[in-house]
Amino acid sequence: MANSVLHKANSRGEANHGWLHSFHSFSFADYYNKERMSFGVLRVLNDDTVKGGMGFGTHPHDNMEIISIPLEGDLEHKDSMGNVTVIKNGDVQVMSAGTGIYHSEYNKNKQETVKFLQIWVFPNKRNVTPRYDQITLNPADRTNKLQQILSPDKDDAGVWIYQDAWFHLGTYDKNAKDTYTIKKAGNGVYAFVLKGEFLINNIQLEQRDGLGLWNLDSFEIAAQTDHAEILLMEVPMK
Amino acid sequence: MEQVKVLIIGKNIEIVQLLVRLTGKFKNLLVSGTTDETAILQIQEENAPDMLIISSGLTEQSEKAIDEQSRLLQPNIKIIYHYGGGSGLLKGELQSVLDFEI
Repeated sequence: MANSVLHKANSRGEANHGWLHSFHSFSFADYYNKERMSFGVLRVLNDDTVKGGMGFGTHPHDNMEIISIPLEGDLEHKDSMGNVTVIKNGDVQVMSAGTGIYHSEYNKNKQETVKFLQIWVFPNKRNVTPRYDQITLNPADRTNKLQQILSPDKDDAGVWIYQDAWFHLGTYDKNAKDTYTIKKAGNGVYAFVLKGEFLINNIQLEQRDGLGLWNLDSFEIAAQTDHAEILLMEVPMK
Repeated sequence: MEQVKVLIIGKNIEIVQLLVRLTGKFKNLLVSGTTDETAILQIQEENAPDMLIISSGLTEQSEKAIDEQSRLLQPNIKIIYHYGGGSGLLKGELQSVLDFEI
């Protein structure tokens, strides 16, 4: 029997540091909720807004697959492997932190805010050699269909990580429907609505709501509004 | 309340130092760290930590050996495999094994 857990947008943890306003779908930093520790190996889903010219100074990470998806604005990335890049809406950034990586992420524009999703997935292997990658997606490839943006396979579409996880983005017209089929038996899917409204398994989802589904082979998504955007994150449940 | 003695082991000195500083900010935790896996048994025998945090950079074999030896020395020791390298998950990891609020 299929299982589900609904996380309404307004039930997320909130941290407002002035320069950074963040909503946490799962326990993070000072936000601790023992009922919200992860969805399988999906450990962090932070919905971050950074003020103009501000950002995260150089800091370390290890043993985590970190995926950033900019939603608005430009984010300047620098890291200890010598990468200096800018990621913008339409890009996906990935870091395998492994034995240790140092990086900074700054809003490149002084006047505009930057909004991005910061997603952490537990790796299936500890202490890998750190790596960084970013890609630019074609938004036309996800109109009324799902566009794969992440997988475990370096030769497959999107970026890759050290985990049996698949992420997809989709932008749908009102009343458009689609079906997602689980890639690996036993995995679950965490659906996160970026914009508009969706109906999944008869559960109504609004902007920034999250729905976790597991013990199922496939499910249907139905857009309830025009230009509705969704992120589907398939991950192992343990 | 008695202080909980925490030992952090990892090969990345900057991350170990950061974790010692961050963990030390929580109440009732007395924290030390080392990057020397050859000295860890001696440190454990002398200090008898209540909790061991395994940070990054150790081989799988080292992690396993440290885990097994620590549990032999101190059967009640709490062992955390830390992920993330900083403050993001640290509080959750600590809180999940402690029976008091930090």
